[in-house]
Amino acid sequence: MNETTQLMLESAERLLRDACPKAVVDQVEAGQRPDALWAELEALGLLNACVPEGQGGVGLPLAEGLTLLRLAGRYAVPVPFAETLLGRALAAEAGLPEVLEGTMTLAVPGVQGDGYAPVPFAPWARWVLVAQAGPDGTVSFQCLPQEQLTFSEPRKGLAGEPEALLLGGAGKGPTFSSSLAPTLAKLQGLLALSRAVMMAGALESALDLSVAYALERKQFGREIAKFQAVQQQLAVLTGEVAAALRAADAGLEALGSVREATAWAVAKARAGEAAGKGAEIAHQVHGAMGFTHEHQLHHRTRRLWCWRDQHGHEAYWQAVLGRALCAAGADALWPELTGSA
Amino acid sequence: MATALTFDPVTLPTAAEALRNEVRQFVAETLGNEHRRNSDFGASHDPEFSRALGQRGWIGMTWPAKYGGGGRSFFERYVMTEELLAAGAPVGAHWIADRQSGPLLLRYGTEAQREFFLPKIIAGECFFSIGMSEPDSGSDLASVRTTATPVEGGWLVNGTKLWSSGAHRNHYMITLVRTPTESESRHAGLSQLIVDLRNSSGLTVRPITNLAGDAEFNEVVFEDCFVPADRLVGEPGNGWEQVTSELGYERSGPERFLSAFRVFVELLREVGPKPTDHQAAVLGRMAAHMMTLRNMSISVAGMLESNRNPVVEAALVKELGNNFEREVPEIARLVAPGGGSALFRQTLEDTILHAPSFTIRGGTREILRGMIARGLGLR
Repeated sequence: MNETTQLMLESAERLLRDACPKAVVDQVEAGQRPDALWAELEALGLLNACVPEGQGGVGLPLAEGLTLLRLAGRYAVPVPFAETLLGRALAAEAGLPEVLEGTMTLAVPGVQGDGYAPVPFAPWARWVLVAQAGPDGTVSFQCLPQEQLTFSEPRKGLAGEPEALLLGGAGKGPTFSSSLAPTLAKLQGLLALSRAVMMAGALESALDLSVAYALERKQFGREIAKFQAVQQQLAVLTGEVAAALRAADAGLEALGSVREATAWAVAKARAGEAAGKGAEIAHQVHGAMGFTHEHQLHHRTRRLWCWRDQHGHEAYWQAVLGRALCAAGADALWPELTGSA
Repeated sequence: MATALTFDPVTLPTAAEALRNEVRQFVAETLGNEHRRNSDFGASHDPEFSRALGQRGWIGMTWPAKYGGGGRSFFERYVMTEELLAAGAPVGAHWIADRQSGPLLLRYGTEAQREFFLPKIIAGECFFSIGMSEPDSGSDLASVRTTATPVEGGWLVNGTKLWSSGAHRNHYMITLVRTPTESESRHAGLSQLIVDLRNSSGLTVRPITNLAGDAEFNEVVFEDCFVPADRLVGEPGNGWEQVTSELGYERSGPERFLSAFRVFVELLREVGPKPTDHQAAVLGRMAAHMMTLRNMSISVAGMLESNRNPVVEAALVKELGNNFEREVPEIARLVAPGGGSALFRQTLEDTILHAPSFTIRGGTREILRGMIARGLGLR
């Protein structure tokens, strides 16, 4: 990781600790836009992390900039962080200065070929980057003001954040392509990776909350952390968190290599599995307290349940990996797994 | 993050990847291309294969050249071992000597011990067993009762060691014993002795047949068994520290997630090129687990290479890896298309029969989870 990234992660963490408390996440759930938080994210330049310096950005490569998403997960940041970060990087390539301000979201065909996936934060977005797949698998983009498009009635997803289905309005006007995501498969892979990184961050936070709660909550005259049954569960949770972190990091490290598609499928599949198991244990450790709206655990776990299904759930990416292995055959399994085919 | 887990990114160095091809070629030449069963480091004893590896310089490959070692990196050793395990090679004879006895002697042994034992281990001609557990001391290792009483020129050992894999055919066993101490602490007064399994009097090795019908592990009974003074490893009374450091080498290697690998290979052969969606997802899930585990294990190898002591990270690799190994046969039996080749059925059945040991050997699942919990500050 380069020094600029390290510095940016540190200042981002300081900012989010103060600017993204539970109250802000609650407000979003109640239907209120987090304008103050957004302004602070903009002021620090976080959303322009992957926009070239010449266009007013930080100029980080995608693999570095996307590490910010771990913090977005850790602090349950209730804005289209991944969409704006990635969308601006794509739009900057086309030289569209006007779209590098304001919230941006992405409308992307779903991985299972069933039309556009629900568009996160659609009702609040100023810009919508609409991806359109060509018959050859390439993808072109249009960046349109949100009000030019037609959306379904917004609904709240599992995380309590607004989303809507794209019904129409795109298709007219100029399009552009991006070297960062020349194909639909690559775009979907990048988005799957982004969710894996976010899940890793949310899992870290769920573990921290669980450990802190177990050390504080007393029953039978001692902290529940002293009970082996609880210790064993927290150890299992730690394993899931560690696996999700390593899988997500490996996905970032692979960006730009011939192994990237595989590494992203692994990242989404493994982190998605960890999300389900991890959320279950975190809740069990927190008891009834964690089931309340007052406690902040659900801001992590509901995002885990949401993100594991976005841009392909575990079974989807597992099957992608499995079909490739079957095509390569039994004797190629080990070379395939080790990237030494 | 309060819990500060570190799994640094690692890219295997070019030298390690170059070695991979050499090992593959060696395996193909030595064992042929026929389909193989799992490589179980606790079984699969083949002295001839171990000698052949020794001749290639692949035992003790990270050890200093002055003892005949290769002076190579942990990454190269990592690649060499994972290639052998994945290929189902019989690595059991030299495994313990290479993984932990040699490193223990390098760290705590006398110069004379290093000069005597290490070249033999490196040549693939000297095999070690582990003498830690006892009838009443399993997970609670500090409760061992085997004693070593100082006598003229050495020690008299009395007691019983249990589950010592390969003791009936290996040459030496590093044995954890109680030696006299003033201290009340249960971790004090423990020492390690190198016991000659082939030339000692007062020593009885009784193989114990496991549930699969194989006699791999043993009961080793000491009755006034004399061990010369120069076979003490390290300082008398320092045994607990030494044993703990030795266990550190045990936990994070590829043998912690490859014990069932041949089942995965043969399952893929059974399923063939056109899986159902369910089969594809199940196989892909196994692949996602394995690739992530391997990535974590290599990361720990990197930490060992830079002289760090990643206790919790190593325990996490073993915990996740062993759970995965135990899951593989359970998955395979449910998604295989039915019938199946003789090799598939044999490999699957072998693995089902050995799977209970995966989450016991080298520290039970419960002990490892306790170590992880300690790392979290819970105890």
